[in-house]
Amino acid sequence: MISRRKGDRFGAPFLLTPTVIYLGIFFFVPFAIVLLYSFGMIDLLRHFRPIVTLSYYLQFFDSVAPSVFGRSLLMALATTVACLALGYPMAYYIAVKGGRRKETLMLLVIIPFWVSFLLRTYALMTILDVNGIISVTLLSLGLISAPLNLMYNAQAVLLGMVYNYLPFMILPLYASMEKLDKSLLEAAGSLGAGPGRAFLSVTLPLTRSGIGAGSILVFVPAVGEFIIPQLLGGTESFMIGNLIWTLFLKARNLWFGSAVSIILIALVVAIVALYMKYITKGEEMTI
Amino acid sequence: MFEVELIDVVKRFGTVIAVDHVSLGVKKNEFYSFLGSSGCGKTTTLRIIAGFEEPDEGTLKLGQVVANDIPPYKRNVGMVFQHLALFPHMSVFDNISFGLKMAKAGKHDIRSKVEQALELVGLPGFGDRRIHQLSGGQQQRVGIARAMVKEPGVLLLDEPLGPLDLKIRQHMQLELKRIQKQVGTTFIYVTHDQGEALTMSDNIAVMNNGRVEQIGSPREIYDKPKTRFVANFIGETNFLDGSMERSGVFACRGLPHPVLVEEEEVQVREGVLSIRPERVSVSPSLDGLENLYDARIDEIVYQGSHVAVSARVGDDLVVKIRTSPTVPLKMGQKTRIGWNKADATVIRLEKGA
Repeated sequence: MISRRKGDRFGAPFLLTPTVIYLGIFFFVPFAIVLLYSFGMIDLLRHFRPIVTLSYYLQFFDSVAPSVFGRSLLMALATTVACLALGYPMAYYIAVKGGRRKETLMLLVIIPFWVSFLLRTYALMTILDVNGIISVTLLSLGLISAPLNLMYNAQAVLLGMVYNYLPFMILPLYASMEKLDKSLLEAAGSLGAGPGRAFLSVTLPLTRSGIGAGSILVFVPAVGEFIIPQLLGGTESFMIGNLIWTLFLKARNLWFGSAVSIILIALVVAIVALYMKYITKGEEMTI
Repeated sequence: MFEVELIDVVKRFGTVIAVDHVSLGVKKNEFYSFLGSSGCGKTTTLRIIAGFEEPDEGTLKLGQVVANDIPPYKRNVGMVFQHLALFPHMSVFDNISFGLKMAKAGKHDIRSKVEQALELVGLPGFGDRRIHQLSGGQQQRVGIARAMVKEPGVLLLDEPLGPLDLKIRQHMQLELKRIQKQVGTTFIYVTHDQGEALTMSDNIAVMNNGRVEQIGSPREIYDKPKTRFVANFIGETNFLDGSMERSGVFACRGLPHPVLVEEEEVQVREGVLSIRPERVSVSPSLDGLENLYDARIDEIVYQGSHVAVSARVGDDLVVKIRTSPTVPLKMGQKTRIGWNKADATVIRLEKGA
């Protein structure tokens, strides 16, 4: 006879209730309000009105929003690719060749998290600024004649994004490489595959899940990023996050701002869904 | 001429000497085993042959060629891994065909060779299966097929039957032997299971602490162990300390009269006589053997196929005996035990042993 312990019946509600209440208050309710705003169902006096309009969604296409979206997606893509290009060899080195120094090296990857995101970005400013370390050093060496400003452009934003998001790429990559059975590479070797071939036909496919998870962890927040372009970027690096921020807090156009937000969420969900389908090819993905 | 030859090979990991001046030669089409407990250097020696480890000293020859610096993927050596190392993201077919693809074989050729390999290991029609859909024994067979399909000159097997259940293991032992006979490839087999090594091998190198203790056929290793370690590691044995009185006569401490041994036994003074429990006969009316002693039965343990008996000779010498359950014996009974010259062997005492 199968006997159920008394506690089991209460297990699920007991464990999930706090999270459900938390997310309900701080995520689902605000999300619902944004959704109502985007369809024009709330008026200026914050009263509900029983109408539905798509005008704010249609307004999207007549505004700067599409080009800002394009720029943001491109920036997020560049950030993801750069993080992957830098993070993959690094994670590989730590996981496969790290030996006893593995823990220390991973600690070094994580340590920047101990400093606030904002502080780290400000720190970058002291390097890139007109009076920053690079400009001052080059001036004193006589390599440049006028002070050099490396800030307020797209490159500075990209630098800041890669710097801040790199650990999010390395962690899942490291986890997938750590799990990789090193004898698989030896097996490939004994079957006549040189290091290059072994990498392409064994390491790469088996770290797919890490690549997928890392890319999503970088891409999704990067699309909506607004602090880095705000601090390091110029007018030409204005991103979706900045647009939404401006619409909500400067222009006070909550209706259009909500529509833009909903479009952003829908777009990101669609991209991630497509990407996951492609990267996992039916296999389960682990983060 | 040897297919694989190691000459004075040394491998160190930090301060640990994993392989300590090992020299051995494996002949073509031979089933050769490295036998020893874990940490004895047998796997490291195998990995040196595969090319995964480079020897610090000494020479590895594959055929006539010095192979120390040849990378694994350029050696004509296949390997079956202890934990199989099958590619989990590939089908059975893709696993087996991997080596052929690396060698840029034609599509048609690949298909027929993979089918042959699956046939050989008793898994016809399994090509489309995923690795995780197979049982442990089936995965084992795929691992063997994958390593064999390229027809390597030498196949290395690193305790491939270790994770399997006893029944499947015994079945796979015979299968491996059949496959080896059928394709006629040189097999080098690493195991800690002495039964496995005795069953399957043409020759065995018994290893201990990175050194080769003895090389010989299963019968030589079992019947004529050259060191105390070998005698003890392979099967059960009785050790009787003593010294050589003269050629053919060994005086054991605790025995009323000396033991007759074979004349050509090693020239030793101090030594130890090793005699297998199943080579000792026990019966009150025992007669006609070259060595005979009066004894008393101390202990009888029934073990199904045989009976384990402890017989006391004199006051403090106990001899372990394995005998048939049909021999009538009683506890405390006075009896006689005995063996012929050829059944025992004298081992020279090693330094520090």
